[in-house]
Amino acid sequence: MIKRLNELEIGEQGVIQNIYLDEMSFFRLSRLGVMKDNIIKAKFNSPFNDPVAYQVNNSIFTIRKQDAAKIEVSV
Amino acid sequence: MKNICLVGNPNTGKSSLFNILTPSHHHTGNWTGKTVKNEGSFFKYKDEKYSIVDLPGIYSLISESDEEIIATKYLLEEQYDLIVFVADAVNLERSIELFLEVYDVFPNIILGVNLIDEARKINLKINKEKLEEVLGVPVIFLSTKTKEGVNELLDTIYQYNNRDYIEILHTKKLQNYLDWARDKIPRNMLIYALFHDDYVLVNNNKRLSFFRHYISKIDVVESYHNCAKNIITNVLDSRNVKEKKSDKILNFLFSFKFTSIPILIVFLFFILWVSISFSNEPSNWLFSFFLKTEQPLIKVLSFIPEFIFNPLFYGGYRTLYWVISVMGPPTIIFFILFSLFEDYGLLPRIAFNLDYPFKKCGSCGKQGLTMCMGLGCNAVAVTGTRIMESKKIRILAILTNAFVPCNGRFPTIIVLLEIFLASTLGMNNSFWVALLLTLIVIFSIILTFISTKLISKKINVDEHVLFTLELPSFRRPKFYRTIYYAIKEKGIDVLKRAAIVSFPMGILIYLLSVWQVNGLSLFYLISNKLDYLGVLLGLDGIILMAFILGLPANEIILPIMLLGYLKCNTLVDYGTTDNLKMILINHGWTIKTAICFIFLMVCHYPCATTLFTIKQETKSFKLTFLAFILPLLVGLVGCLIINFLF
Repeated sequence: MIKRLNELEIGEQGVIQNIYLDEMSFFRLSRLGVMKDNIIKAKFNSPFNDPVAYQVNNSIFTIRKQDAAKIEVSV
Repeated sequence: MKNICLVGNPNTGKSSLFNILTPSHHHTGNWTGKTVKNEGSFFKYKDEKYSIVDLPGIYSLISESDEEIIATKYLLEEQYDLIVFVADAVNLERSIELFLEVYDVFPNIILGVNLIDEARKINLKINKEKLEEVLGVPVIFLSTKTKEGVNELLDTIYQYNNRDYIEILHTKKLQNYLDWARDKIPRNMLIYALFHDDYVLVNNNKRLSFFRHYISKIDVVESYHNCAKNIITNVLDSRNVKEKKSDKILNFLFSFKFTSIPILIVFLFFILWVSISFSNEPSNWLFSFFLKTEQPLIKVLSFIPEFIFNPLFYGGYRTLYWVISVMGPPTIIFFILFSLFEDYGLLPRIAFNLDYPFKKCGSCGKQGLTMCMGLGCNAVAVTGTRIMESKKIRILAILTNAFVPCNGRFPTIIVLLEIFLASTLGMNNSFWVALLLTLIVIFSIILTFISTKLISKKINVDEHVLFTLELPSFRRPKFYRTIYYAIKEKGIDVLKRAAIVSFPMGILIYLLSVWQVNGLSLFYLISNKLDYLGVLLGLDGIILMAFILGLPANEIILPIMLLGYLKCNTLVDYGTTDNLKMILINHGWTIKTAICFIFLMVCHYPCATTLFTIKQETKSFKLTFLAFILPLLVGLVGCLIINFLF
């Protein structure tokens, strides 16, 4: 099933399929491991529920929901 | 002499390695972007001398953020003999991607896989021999914490022989370009030339513009990514990886709705409380020590004519030691605690937690990070804003940074809280003083938010910026090392600032109060003129004059003011709070005066060092002026309101 990244529940993980971000943003996230076929996991929320911390490989980083909505993952 | 540079992703321990290899020390932290400029030093091993440069951490050589460009330019333009690439064992894939990029620029590399102890803790296995074999460079497992592998690294550096470049297997798309460009563009600039004009000699070439159009940065990343992935699958065994339990709990506590912000406030309170309660003793001790030096000094220096001796001694020396003994201890203790929390990995969490409110104000979480740095030093925080990708958000962060009181302003506020508010309200211990100070800091953070919101409307921050920040694993700080260097560094800094600023300012104040026009001292004449304004603001002329003369450094505002009240010649021991209180009350101070003073202390222009840094970072007089005038206006208006409402 294809989901948007922001729709992942905390603790849920998926495989990155498509990234519809602008090139600059895509580039920056790609350096953190946000690339097609990589596994991404929703780790925890921030106190205001946005941004959310995600994990790829062994690094944890934050993405705002508006940007996460532009990334498709299969679960 | 051989030139070495340290390259690697952010927060992989380059600075720690640099500190181990060289006799110099610069402060490390546990977050992305701690090092934003090149740091250089020297070391000797056996009979060979080396110069070594620590470059800011980078994600890629084709990134656009300021500190990454600094590192890239260095790699492309400068002469060096060897690169020590510091990889993160826990995030090896990413490190290898960057390693390959760097390898395409310069093939003489030693790969140091740092944080190997952390990797072992989570059961991550790396095959060193295989990694060495596929990459064709020496690989060393390092731990800057336990110093594992450091000697091996030194030996490898010592014995290093230059190697031939081995072709990296790129994707078809990129390979086409590389085949064409190889004899037209210098080898190390091949990839860089796709995105920049700086070094390319064949600029108007149709073929090059075709490739530039055809190949995006993502394509480049993909190419390196695939290559790295192939390597990683063969050397990395992550089947048994388990998450550190402590990280799990801490991540929860620091991000959970009902615990995150309270924990941060408790931490802030704790830092301030410890700084206040632990600095009383050393302050008293230093003060009485300096007081005892007075008589011997006067005797020994009696050969100096009075008109030279008096300004030097009663003006310069007394201000100097007052600043050192009253301001020094809290400054240093605060700095130690702040460094420990920073090493622990707290700052990025603050940015994460505060991103949403900052977003509502037109900025992003990274401003929360520089705001916290401002508690340490506003000038350092201004340099720190380099981590922001958006120019406009960076300007926001710079202009609003001074609202957070820096380390140099804390002690003054503490003294006033101690002698006025706390004792008047019957809360005469450090606990209550710390609590009041915490409230003041929270207030200053609220001011930061409001001013950010207002300025962001004026400069139209509407561009869509992606906010992303790594949340590093919590690392236990090297306790004694941090304390040792914090004392050494900050101690020297305090002494230096006292010598450069407090001493001459003390002399100036003395002279101003001695030189007379029509029987009245200059100090009196000037502060008299300022008195009208001062009274309007709930203060007086002497306070305003202290603020004006305190431009070079915030910590001298209080001593200047006291010298002004005492007209220098009647300068008695104002070391104890009781004496201070008497002096202030005798000069018409009330609680309202103290509140206005503290308000102005929080909201006025940043110190000269910070202004100078702002000028350097923004290259704009207008912005520097704005950074000067905005907090000042808020301070003046605030004082007016306090004065007339209460």
